[in-house]
Amino acid sequence: MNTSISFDPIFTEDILVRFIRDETKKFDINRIVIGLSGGLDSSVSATLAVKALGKENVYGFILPYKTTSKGSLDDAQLIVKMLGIQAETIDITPIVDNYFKTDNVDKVRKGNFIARIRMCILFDKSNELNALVLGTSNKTELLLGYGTIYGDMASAINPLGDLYKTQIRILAKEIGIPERIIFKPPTADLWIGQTDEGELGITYEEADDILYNLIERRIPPSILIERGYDVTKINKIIGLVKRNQFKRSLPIIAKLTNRTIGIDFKYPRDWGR
Amino acid sequence: MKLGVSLAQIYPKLGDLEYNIEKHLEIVKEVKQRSQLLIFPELSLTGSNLMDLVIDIAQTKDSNLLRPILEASTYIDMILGLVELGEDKGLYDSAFYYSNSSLKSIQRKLFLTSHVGSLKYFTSGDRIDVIDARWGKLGVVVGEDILNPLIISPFVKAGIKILIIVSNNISVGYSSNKAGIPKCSVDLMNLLITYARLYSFYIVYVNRVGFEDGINFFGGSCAISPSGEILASCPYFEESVISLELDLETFRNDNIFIDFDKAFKLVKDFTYEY
Repeated sequence: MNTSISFDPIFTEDILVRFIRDETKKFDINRIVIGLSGGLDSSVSATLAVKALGKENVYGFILPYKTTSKGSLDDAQLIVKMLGIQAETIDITPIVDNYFKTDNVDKVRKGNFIARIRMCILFDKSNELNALVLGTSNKTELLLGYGTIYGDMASAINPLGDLYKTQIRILAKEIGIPERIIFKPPTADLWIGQTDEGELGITYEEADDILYNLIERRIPPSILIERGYDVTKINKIIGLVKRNQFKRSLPIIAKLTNRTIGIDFKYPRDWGR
Repeated sequence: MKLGVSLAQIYPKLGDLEYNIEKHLEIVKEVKQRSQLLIFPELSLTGSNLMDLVIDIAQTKDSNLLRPILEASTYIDMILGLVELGEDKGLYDSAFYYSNSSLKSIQRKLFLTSHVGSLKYFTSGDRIDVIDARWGKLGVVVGEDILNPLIISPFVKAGIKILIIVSNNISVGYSSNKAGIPKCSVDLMNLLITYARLYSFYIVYVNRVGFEDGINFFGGSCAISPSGEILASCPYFEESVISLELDLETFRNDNIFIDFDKAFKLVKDFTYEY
């Protein structure tokens, strides 16, 4: 990431902790459920939730499938231990395998299914425990569409959605996430050997640098190319941001009246709260 | 003479007029013994990220719902913010000044921005009012209007003693300065301090706090003396009511060297071939 961007993790942490406290309190709910993958984002989200609501109000769920790596499970347990939160491990292999009946399924299709089963469990647990589902999607993933719509992208509130992956690494260090988790290759861990950067074909440092310039600084792609950025990478990123806009939107509705939901019936979610 | 002023850095409930009116009245009770002027932030009766609620929640200036506020101004002068339904059916982001059981002045926001959709939902005001309060003249500026450099001039010409800025300023950015003050507020603070010193009036800045759909308002309300000193300030991000006294006797008006009329003529006549 461009080193000229000033990022103050202490200040950011303060805002995110206040955000979690405030947006849960408004719904008269002071508990959080979160899926723990052992990765950076869920570890950071869970830690912020503990700072906001106390460890007794954060419930971690570790939801492995048979291909989930042992390293991921160990790291998820490490975070549970570090935070002292209540956690439960639910093996989702029977659910997934009972549906597909065979292992010979397209890996993206299966990966999406796994992500959505986890979402189902988290939302069910949120109902059982009178809690909100805390999101873990970061801005890089949301912009590139590197997530499963109605799967890992689903949550009630998301403290990380306006932070790039490389910023989350800085924040993670500040809030005491073990280095092993910060520096391991990010993975959705939906199939063996999957890594984010392998699938995207670009490192997070490169992606964040390009996204920051395009989105935050609104520098036109042509100027970035003039400045020596790789034209293929720029085009790839722009393509992903555009193509995945649907993942960042609610389903569109055929307009028939003067007050169509989402078009001209627009109310804040915090309406009256 | 000394003027007791209270700054109410509140967290309004979004779209709940009755709740917010009650909240205002409680603060009146709290400060009426020690202050003659109580200032609430922009849109203090409604909240900020209103979207279609702008239409639902708008009140005419003589709305019955506002009657308790009007009555409370028997005890203390009050500036508060709401969505005003104008006689022209326009929807305005307005600051109402109540004094002695009457609505003495309305200052509508003049320059709308894309900020929380204000450009889409609101109508822009077209008049600057100088309030002749019993202790002297004062001006009210709503939110980002303060960023337009020309807006100060009528107030300076009128010789106001206090410039009041009511706002819904949002916390944007990832960083703070060495004192832990959000970077996004540092520029504004510097601007206000400069204005106070340059034009020799008090500045009272009242911002709100809280979250609305993830949008975070930073607070940091403060009073600045004509010499640019921060006399009192609310914390960042926390609800807070502070009171202080402004010594209006020490007021000096040494800015007569600023010839706004000439400047305006120059701006008006200015042409440039692009």
